[in-house]
Amino acid sequence: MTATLPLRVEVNGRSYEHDVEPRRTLADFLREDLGLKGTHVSCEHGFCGNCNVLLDGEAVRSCLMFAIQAQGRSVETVESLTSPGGELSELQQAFTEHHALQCGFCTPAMLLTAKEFLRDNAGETDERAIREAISGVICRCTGYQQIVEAIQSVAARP
Amino acid sequence: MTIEQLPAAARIASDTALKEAGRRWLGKSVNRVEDPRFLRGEGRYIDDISLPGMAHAAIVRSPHAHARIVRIDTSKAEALPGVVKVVTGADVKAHAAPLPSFGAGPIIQDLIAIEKVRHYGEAVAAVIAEDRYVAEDACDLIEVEYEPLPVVLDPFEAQAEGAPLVHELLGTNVAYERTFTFGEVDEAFAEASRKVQAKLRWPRSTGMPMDTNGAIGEYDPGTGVVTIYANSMNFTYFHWLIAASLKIPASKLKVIPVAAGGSFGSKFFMHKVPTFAGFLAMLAGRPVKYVEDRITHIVNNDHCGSDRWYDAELAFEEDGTFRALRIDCVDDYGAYLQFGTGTHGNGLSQIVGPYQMKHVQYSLHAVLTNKNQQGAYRGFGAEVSNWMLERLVDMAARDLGMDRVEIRRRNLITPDQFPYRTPTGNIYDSGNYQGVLEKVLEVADYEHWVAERDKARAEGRHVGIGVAASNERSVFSSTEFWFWFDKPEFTPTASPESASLQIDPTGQIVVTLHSQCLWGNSPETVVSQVVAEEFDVDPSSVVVTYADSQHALPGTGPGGSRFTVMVSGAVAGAAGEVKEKIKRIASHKLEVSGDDLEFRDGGVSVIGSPERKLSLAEIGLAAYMFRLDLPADVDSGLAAQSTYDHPLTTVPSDDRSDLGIFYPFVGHAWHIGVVEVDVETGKLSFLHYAAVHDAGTIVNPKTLDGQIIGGTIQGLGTALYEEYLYDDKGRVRNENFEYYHLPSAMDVPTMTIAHQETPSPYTPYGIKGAGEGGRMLTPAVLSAAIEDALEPYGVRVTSLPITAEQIVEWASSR
Amino acid sequence: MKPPRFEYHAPTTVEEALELLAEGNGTYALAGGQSLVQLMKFRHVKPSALVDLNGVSGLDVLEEREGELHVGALVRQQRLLEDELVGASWPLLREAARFVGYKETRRRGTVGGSLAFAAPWAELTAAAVALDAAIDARSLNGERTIPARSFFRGPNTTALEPGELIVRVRFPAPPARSGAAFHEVSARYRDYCQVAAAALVSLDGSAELVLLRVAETPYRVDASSALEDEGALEDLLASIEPADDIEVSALYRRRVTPVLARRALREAAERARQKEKT
Repeated sequence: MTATLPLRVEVNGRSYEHDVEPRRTLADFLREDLGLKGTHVSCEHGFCGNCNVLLDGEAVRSCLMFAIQAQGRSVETVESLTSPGGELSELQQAFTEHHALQCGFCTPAMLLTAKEFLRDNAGETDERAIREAISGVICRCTGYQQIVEAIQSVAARP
Repeated sequence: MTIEQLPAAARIASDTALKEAGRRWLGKSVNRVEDPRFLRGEGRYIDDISLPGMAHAAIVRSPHAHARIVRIDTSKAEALPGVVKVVTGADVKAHAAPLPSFGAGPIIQDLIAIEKVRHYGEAVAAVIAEDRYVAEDACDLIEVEYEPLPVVLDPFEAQAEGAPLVHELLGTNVAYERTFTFGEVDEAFAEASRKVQAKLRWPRSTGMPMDTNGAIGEYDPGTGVVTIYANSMNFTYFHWLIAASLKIPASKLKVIPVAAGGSFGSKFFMHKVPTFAGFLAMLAGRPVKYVEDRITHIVNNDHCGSDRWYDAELAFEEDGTFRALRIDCVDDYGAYLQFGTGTHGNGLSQIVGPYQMKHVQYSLHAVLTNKNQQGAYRGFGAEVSNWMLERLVDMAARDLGMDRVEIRRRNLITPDQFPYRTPTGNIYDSGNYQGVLEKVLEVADYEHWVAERDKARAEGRHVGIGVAASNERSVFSSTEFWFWFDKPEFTPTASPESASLQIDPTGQIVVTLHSQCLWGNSPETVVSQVVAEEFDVDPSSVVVTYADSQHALPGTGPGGSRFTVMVSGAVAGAAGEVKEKIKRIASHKLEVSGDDLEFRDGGVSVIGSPERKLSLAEIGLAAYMFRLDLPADVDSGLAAQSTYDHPLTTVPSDDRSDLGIFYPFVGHAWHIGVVEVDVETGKLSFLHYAAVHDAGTIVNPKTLDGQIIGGTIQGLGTALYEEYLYDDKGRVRNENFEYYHLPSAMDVPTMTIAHQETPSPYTPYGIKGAGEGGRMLTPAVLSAAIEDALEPYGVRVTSLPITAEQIVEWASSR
Repeated sequence: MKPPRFEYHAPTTVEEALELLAEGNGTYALAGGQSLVQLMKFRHVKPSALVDLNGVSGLDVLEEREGELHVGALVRQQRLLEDELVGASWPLLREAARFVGYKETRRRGTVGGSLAFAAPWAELTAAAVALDAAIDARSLNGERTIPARSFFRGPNTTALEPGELIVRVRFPAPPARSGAAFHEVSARYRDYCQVAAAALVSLDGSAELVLLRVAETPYRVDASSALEDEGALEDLLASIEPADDIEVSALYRRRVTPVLARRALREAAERARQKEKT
């Protein structure tokens, strides 16, 4: 059996070349091989969404993809949200203003999923639409309300 | 201690004048100081940590709920490249001691099952390998021969003569059985004009945080020190017990706290996983990380919630006055009893709820079965007894044809009755229950929804309103673990919290905490706000660090909604000492009396002449560098540590007719929920949900709301979705998220929340704990709302979860 | 929860993929991975090799040809929701796709994968049967067409032979003057359906009803007689044989099936009427 395969992938705007075992999940590749610990695994079977990353701008479950499948693609993780100077993004700032995180474990996934929603639904403040957008990410701490409020506040800005 | 002997105010080493002058930082919704690192994905949870040379462990879980381990063949696993070591019960037997437990023995739990497994998913072997993938490959290669034993799953069958024994040494599956009588219960029932009785069922669920239990062990043979990184919620309270399991001196165990992605009780006294990691590291000769995967967490986490069968009665009068409660409870604890029957102690702290009642009888049967054991889940048993009580209250209301709000109102403890002594001996420190009730009726727009419900009903729609009240006890005392026994072996009465506060030579404040307390509550923000309040500095300038167990002062950690109160007391205590010293230095340098000084704007200034001041930086520098400028009897440095003990707890009486004061800081809340039921499919929609909570002085309204909403939604999960499902062989059928359902953003209501503040006379700043409250109410609210919606069908909700199938069944039976 | 080892192949043509799949036992096709990778995490399935279809060209075309909707096997489920042509002319596909998991899983999950995996709760299987789709499958022996109505043989069991790959699904134009609706019940929002009803109603008097979770395969009912008389539904549904499972009982399914059927038929009829007006 071939031990590893060469992978070339862009993560957070930077190009990486690594040899990976085919079975290495994208989540584990990001966390262990690239040291980007912000992507979290919680259930590892695709139900909780805490592992969501953006693949070519679209949220997907990184625990259900093999790293090798990201060949030639571009991935964004939570680490990409802060500016090069280290400042929090508008969305991250809204999360702290509205207390949209408690333990923080689902937060990276929530941020990325919300980022996609805000980009594709500019100005959409409808509560149900926002809840629908994050329905695939489980938060056990907040009960979602303050997360929704944080996203609404960003959507409402001109 | 009698009510009369209670202190008028607890000993708090903080500036009382500050409390009266008005809050500057407490009560503000400051952004959490914890947030930035979590927002950036730099939370440093246990699985984010790597040590050089670290190996990874995985376990083999038992497929049987009860079986003797006949033989384990590890040879194929050992031969797999990348495997460091394979570990079985034989290694545990040779090198480790059993895990700690507050339950009366012999109910022995080991790190890995030694002779037999007692529940589905219990560990029978572990593999240490270069990475987790290989460890799991090797686990697949371990061959275990089992001799299945008869399984006991039903707690009633488990009590019967001849039932298979979970613990042969114990000789019975009834781990504990006793009846407590407070007051004149039989007389009260005989005299009361009416009573209602119900059999009620609350099944097993679990806290289920997104981050499972995990630890990294490391052993240094040179020093003999075992270091364990763990996301357990406590360690100073019991790390010496972990050391005993590892057979090392407690002084050679260093537990390092790690941020946790949630707990809700499941990381409370989390002893097995940290001990396991330490044990594996000692055997492997290199650091070992063990993090539960989701299935392991569900079936093997030692932290299921209560699993109860109640037969309960409420005696009352024609005018709705409650007289007495008689409660019989069978609680299925599973295969072990780590907290003894503490979850019933919890219930007994507020067994009469917010109602005036003098007579309570409580019969408890704690039974062992072949299931993953109980631990802690938000409420720790009091959420269950509250649901039971509110069900009886609703039944009484129906029996009398009385309005459900009115019957409660008539029985509420009144403000002049505090501190209120409940029949068990525990007190409620303060309250204004009527105020909360009036507020929730207003905030919920109750009259409007009553009219809406009536209109909908006339149209054939099934809209229902549920109203429930709950007290919310906070800050537990350890007596609740042992007052069950007349002659307990071990009688801890300490449940302190500590803090160290240091002001450095540049005037910056660093606070060190002595528990692992970061799991989604906001300890650093609480600490920062308390420090800010004490010193008038910007909360975000305060640095919070955590001591490891070798450097730790006594601490108990979060649990029982105790942490905000206790850490505030510890921080206020340390702050008070440092402020005293600062005043001495400043009064010496400014040549004024200490009484003329106040803390303002990051320094100390003369009251009335703010230009005469010294900054904390100036004082700090002087304290560290200029000893000869200080008063002669003042030493160098500017730091203090404070251990804050439970401010109000007493021991139970010998005859246990008085359990003492063990949970005295009691908040109060009401929720009102409006649902619409689709009786053809059983699905619910939420039309409105309002909550008013009184948790004493509020530290941070925004984070308090977060706790309320989060707890309420977990209660919703309990009420509608969550339950361990077993097959007849004791295997957990919903051992992953396909079928163990956690509410998503689309499954839950949006809440309207308001607050009331009735401070405690006994706690720092009058704060009461609030973390568990939401979950204490939703099951009662939804039970009542669904009953109300299905009023045409005469439905009685007596068991949870209330499933769509059950609703359709009810609606079909008319 | 890590998957076991496997050999990985990333063919770029269908021929290459078929050659790899023909190698036989233990070689699995990987499309969206939302079901297969999960099973591999549980180690319920241990492929010795995976043939990753995601790089195979030509399998993700979505277009209309001679009145038929051609959906390449690798078309992502989310595209069914977003595509205007699908929404306008094959609305049942969109209605069914709405219930398939969450957006994150629909971005990866594929139409072909959904049909080939044939989970009992897979909404697209009901839509395919209702719309009388044609499933084009190819192997080294050539290509053949299997009607959706005879494609599903049981839970996770289809007419596909070993080494055979779905390459496209063709949906004929729905009946004239028709409207579509999809109703289901599930434990939480977007969990596996416990019962589902797909309805296609034409104002010309025909009604196609396909149910999930009431038999071993998607259960097709000619519900035309129920259009005039809803009471006829009871007889039409008399032969369903739902089972108990971990979540709900057969009895619940029996009670809820006619409810969903009635609601789906009504809604489909109403939509047909609305379309007429515009």
